[in-house]
Amino acid sequence: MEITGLDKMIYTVGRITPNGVRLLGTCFHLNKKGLFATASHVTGNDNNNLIIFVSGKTDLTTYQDTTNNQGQTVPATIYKVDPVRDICILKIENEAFSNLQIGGADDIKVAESVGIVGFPHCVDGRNILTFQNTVVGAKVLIESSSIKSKHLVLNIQTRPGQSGSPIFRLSDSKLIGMIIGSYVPNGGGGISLGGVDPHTLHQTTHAVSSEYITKMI
Amino acid sequence: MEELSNIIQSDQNTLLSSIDDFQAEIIKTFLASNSNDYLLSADNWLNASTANTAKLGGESNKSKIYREKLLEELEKFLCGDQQYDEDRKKISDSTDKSQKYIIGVMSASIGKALGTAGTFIAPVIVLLILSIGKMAINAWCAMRKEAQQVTAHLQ
Repeated sequence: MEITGLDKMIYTVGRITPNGVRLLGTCFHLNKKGLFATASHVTGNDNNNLIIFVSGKTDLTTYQDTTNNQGQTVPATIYKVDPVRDICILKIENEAFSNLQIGGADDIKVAESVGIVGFPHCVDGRNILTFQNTVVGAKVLIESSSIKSKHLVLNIQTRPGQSGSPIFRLSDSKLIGMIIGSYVPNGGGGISLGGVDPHTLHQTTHAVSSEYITKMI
Repeated sequence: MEELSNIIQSDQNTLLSSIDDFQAEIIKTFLASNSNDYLLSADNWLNASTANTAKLGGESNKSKIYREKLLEELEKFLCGDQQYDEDRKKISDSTDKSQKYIIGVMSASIGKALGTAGTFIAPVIVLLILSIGKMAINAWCAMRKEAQQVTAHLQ
């Protein structure tokens, strides 16, 4: 998979607060003018002061400076929401679009390799674009309000900030899914140690099939 | 307002065609599994959450949007509350009288009041309108007012 140029496609979503920009998760540029995808819970379905943060210093082929938090904020609005699949499409006032090829979970087999690109720990202010690779561990149907949707289980640990990260088929960079969270019985939230829910410390990450994104744009 | 009266008299298929196809598809699935219960389906939409999945981002302190609160705002919109004067004028002044446009204006203005995106609540607005059951607006507004007075009296 080619990593050059991913910094021009994958960004963080944030909200402008009185204390500065609060980063909320990852988003990626779609192949339609001005549209980006992220997880619905990243935005909380709230347009207020929502932005896409562009640092211009997240090129994966160079050293990213962890002390440099400077960047531009691009106002974004919520264009479409599917709360059942936890998908949100954002729109910015710009005609640009990516050359992303969008597929879905049907385009990948269990044990096939995938690349995940996003911003782990961005919710703590760390804006470092990070590539991870793993394999698809299982294809599953997960329920939300009694509707079952196609998801992938990825055999890797993921951390807050990675919701909204695109998942690419490693062989040809086709988009097959988007990270929405990690498995936790009954939604978690019971115990927190240093801000970490111990239930999430494992290698079972949930990603929604990107075929549902296609229906929204 | 004639436009608002018309929208309340619209049938289910017409109103569902005023929201995005992917949203209408989800709402139809809810209605089929809930014996066409509009309010239960509205709750299904508002409370949707992927099972057994911890969220890796967003704001944990985000307040939830409740159906009852949305109904209160819809009542204000339909029953002439001055908070929505400009939005109603926007509808009456527009040459576009389609359900899609009217639902869009209602969702955007109510969403703004509640701090949520119009596109998120549009299906719920449609379901709440369907729950009115083609009653005349004036009768529905009077019924809501009476119900609130009874509730206030009991408290």
